[in-house]
Parts: sequence; C-alpha cells; structure tokens
Amino acid sequence: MSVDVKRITIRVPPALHRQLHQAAAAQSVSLNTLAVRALETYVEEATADRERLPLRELSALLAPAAEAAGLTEEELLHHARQVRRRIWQERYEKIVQAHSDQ
Amino acid sequence: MSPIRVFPDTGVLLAMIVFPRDRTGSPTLAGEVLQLYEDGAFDLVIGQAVIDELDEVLDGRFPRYRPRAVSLLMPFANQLIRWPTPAEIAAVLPFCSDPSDTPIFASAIVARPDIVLSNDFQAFHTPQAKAFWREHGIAVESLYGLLCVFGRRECKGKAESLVKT
Repeated sequence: MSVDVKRITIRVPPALHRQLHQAAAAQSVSLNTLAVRALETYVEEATADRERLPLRELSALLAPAAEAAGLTEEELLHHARQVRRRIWQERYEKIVQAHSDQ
Repeated sequence: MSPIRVFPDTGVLLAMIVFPRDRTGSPTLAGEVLQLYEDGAFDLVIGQAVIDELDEVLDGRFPRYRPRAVSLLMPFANQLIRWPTPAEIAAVLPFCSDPSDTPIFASAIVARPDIVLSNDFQAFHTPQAKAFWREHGIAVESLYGLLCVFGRRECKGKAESLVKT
C-alpha cells in the first residue's frame, strides 16, 4: 500500500535534536513519527486558537479604557440600548413596517 | 460531541469584554462566563446585527480603541451569522416588548443556537419571549443561568438539563 507523504527537511540545534531522539526512544517511536505527531498537535491547537474570538484581547484593550474613563456597566448598557433603538429607526423600522403592511 | 452553541446579546458581550472584573479585581459573572468560553466550555455564535451594535458602541464610547478592536474581529467576519431579512424580523415583532429588539431576536433564530444569552430581563426573559424561545427549541439564560448550566452556580431546576454529559 502506498501512502501519500511529502518530505520536509528542518534544521534543529544539537540540543533539541538530542532531546527529540530521547523523547522518541521513550515513546518507542521513530523520530519522524514523533515530529509528525508534534506538528499535528501544533496545527490542531493553532486552528482551535484561531477559531475562538479574541475576547480576552478585546478586554485587555477596553476594560482599562473604561476604568480610566470612569465608565460604569450601567452607563455602557444604557448607551447600548440607545444604539439599538437608533439602529432600529435608521435601518430597519421602515422596511420592516413596509413588509408587515404587505 | 459538539459544544453548546451560545448566542450572546450585545449587552452580555459588552459585559464580558469591558467588565470581566469588578472594582476589587474579582471576576464578575460576565468574567466567569468569559473564562468558560476561553476554556472551551461552549461556542459563541455571533450575529452581524450584534456586531453592528458593538461597533457603534465602540465608536461612541471607545473611539480611540475602535480601529484595533475592529482589526481583532475582522478575521472572524466569515463566522458571523447573517443579518435577518425584513420578513424574518417582521415575524418576531409580536414577541418583542420593544421593536428595536427584533433584529437581535430574528438573528438568534437564524443562528439556531442552543442558548440565547442575555441579562436584559425586560426584553429576553418575559413570559412572552420565553414562550417564543421555547417554541424555537432555544433556551434563554442570563449570565448567572449560564453558570448554572455549567455547574458553577446553584441551579433552581431547569438549567442543568442542557449540559450533555
């Protein structure tokens, strides 16, 4: 059975090379298998990280700004409610009303 | 098994982002929910209609930080739930105490989440609204209620049944 594989060549520092050999021996796998597993794990984790919204980064940006401005949650939510009403009036009300009248 | 899909209202999304901690530095309910999200306990499904509101709030209250916030969210644009159509919005009008909530209600229906997350009790948790969510097979929870769903708070009955083991 043939397996479709691609070859890559990487250069690593001697110390890491030694550690990889030791880890492979400890797991009773080849260095190649160990490297493939490590790369698969990296890709899975990187993909998972990318798919999660960067809410903590947004928080790191905005929470200190809110604190510095003395903005309270109540004030912010009140503002959000006003925004919602304005968006409704400006973007939706007429077209939804027209649709309802049909 | 797929994680629970949660559709946040704009208010809870703002609370998670802007107020994850109280003045003493302790996590707020929103902060605890944010941590659960980061731990992978559930997925967020976010509507374009919610992002529209978030964007305007940022423009109004955090204009200096808006460009950076937008650039952080930009890579996720293709994950957003589309805007509801006028017909879809009109269909939810009878269930909303405030018509301005209808684009968000309709967006949630388009998203088909397991849970709609909102701390706006006057809009999302009225008997009328609860009946609406129930009719569509969607649970509606507050921040506290979502923590109950995941066993982080004492439940009063129904919430924990959503957690699949």
